[in-house]
Amino acid sequence: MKRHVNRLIVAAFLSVFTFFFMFPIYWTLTTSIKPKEAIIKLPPEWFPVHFTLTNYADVFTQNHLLRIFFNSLFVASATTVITVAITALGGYGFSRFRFRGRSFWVYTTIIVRMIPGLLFIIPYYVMFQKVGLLDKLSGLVIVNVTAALPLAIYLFMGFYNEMPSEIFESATMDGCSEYGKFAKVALPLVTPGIVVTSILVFIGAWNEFSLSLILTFSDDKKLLPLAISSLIEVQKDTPLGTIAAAGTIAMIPTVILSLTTQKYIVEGFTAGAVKG
Amino acid sequence: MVNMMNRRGLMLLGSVIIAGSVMSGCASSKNEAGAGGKTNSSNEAASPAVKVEGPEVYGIKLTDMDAGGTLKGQYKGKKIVVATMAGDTEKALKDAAGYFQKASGATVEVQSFPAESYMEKIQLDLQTNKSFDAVVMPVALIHGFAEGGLVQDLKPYINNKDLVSPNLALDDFIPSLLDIYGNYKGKLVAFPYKPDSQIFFYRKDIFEDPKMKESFKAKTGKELTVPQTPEEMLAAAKFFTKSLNPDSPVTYGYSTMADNTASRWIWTNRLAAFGGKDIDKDFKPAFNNEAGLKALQFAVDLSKYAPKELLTLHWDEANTLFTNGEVAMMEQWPGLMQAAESDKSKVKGKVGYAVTPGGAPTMGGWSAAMSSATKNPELTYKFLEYVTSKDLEVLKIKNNMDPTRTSNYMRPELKKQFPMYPTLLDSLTKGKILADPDVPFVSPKLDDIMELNIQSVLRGELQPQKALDSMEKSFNEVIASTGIMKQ
Repeated sequence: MKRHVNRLIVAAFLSVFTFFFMFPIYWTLTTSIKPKEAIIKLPPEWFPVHFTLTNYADVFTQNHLLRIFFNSLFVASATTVITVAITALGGYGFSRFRFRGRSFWVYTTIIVRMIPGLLFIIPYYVMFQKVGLLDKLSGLVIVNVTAALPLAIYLFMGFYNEMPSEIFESATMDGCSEYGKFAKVALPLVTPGIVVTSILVFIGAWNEFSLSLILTFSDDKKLLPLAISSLIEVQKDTPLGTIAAAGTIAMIPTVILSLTTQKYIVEGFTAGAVKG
Repeated sequence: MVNMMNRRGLMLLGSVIIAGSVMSGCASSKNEAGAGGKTNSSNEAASPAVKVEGPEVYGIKLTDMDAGGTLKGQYKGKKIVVATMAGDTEKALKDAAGYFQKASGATVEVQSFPAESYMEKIQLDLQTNKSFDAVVMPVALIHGFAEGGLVQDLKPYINNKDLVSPNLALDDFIPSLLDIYGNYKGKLVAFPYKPDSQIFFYRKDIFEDPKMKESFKAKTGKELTVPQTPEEMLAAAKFFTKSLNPDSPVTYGYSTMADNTASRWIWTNRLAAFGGKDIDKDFKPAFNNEAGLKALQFAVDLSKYAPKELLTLHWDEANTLFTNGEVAMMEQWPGLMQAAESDKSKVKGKVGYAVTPGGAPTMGGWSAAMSSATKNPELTYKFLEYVTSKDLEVLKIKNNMDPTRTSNYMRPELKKQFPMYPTLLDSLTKGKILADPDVPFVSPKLDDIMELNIQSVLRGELQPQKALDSMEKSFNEVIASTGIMKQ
């Protein structure tokens, strides 16, 4: 009986949380296919009665979102690949090797993560101005990688720390070099960690706003958050349908990524540092 | 209007200010022949003008597409960058840039940034990167840039006979706009680009309804007319409030947008009418007096006839109440006209326009200025002159940028298409107070001070006189911190 009550309580909590997580997504999706008059209707139209694709047409024809979408895809993908490549090695180094100043560098890396990102904007701006990286997508990749490094290193350290040292001792006895141990032993085992880190880094870069606002200028270098934000004007009715359509499109890559890698995410969350 | 933008952008402001103080500031380089020098146009005076076919807009065939023959493709190979807020301003500039490019041979890149953060972005660039040749922004910000030497005087270019368009006609700009938007400390730092004034929108159908007129007369002993004075406005607002008059065809006598970015305009719309001002010419607060008190008390009285949620209403919500037919009178920026006259509006064809009661509406407005650091001052000047010229002003109307030149308000085609224009012209001529106090560097901060106090008064938490005292004290402190206040 007590078990049933517990289950009911858990189910009730989960239902509430699911509702709070899913409702904004539902509302964005339905708003994106409603005609304008249905969007601003009072009381709200909870279930769409009339459907339209005008909002999606506006996104692509009037706001050139396709190019912007690919800009974001390039920046987020490049950031993810580079970050994971660097931090899979970095995390391994911090986790497996004991060297002078190790703790200092580990804590320094983590502390960098605690500094508000806004503080870096002006130094980035000045540096990029000097080296000609302003208004370049490659510049955004650099800053996004820099911002993602501390968390990714920390995550990878957690994943590598979970691995029993006996595996590496066996590999040593089998004549494996340090690089071999990383490539042939650690890396295959840390696959869920790579997926989890990739998703977190990708989402971070995909949603990034402040850096791209300050470091890019021209229309053909805009990223999605900036472009969606630009749809809101002063002294003009907010194009809620167009914003919802753009938001829905912006959700697609992260949803696909999360759904296709769900198996690894579960493994990752139970294997690495993120389990808390 | 500055603080109508999302506060998220303000997070960046601190960074921008720090940057401004530590980095190179207000350089004013002139790298081209520039203002008084020999110009490209004079070099090629003998060249024929480039033929650019003008479009027909609102039944008007645009003809001055080469700035009176001064654009002859002579700027080929040159490029300028113009910065502004994303949206209508950007679209209007891009439209005009297409024709300008054909006529001048130059390339114009219009860069735009989101409404919530364009101010910080543009200021940062003007102070450091200096990649913008021209900026189109709200008036108060342009004046701040002028104070900091970030934008330059246009008069030397206007005085250059080889450069200036014979069709410039400075006196065609509405005088108050050229004066308030363009002039700053004896310099012409910008051309007016987009005029803005609070307009009094009212339900023509119910004000002209004989039954309503009769009922009003019976209740007040006076004729029901479109309010011209604050007292008439108050009487009409009371009469049309359904909770006080069940026969009223609308729910509320009055409404406006009055959230914590916009409530101050209920006060400023009457401040000048009662003889007050927000800031005097020496940057000292000029509202803590009888006029300020009367205007603030009037705002309190008027809000009794407004929706309960008045202090949360912003653009969309306030306009929806009006277009749904729930409000008899509303003070709003001209953009409400599009919503009120759209097919989805329940009040289409039923709306009248007038100058705000008291006859001294609050003015907003955007102007176009040239960066001090531009490497192409002559070309930039030509672009600014072009986009504010009489014919090109007509082109920008379709992007909701109303004209700033008197002659355009006189065009019969536009008068017919935009019945609000005579009222807008009248309002622009009578406006005395800017939507954002015209104090360089701290205008958004002063907006916040006003909002904080006026919201408190309208909520009933603060007495009007105490609010004025508090505002005056805060204004003095903030303005003193800039060091610009005259002793």
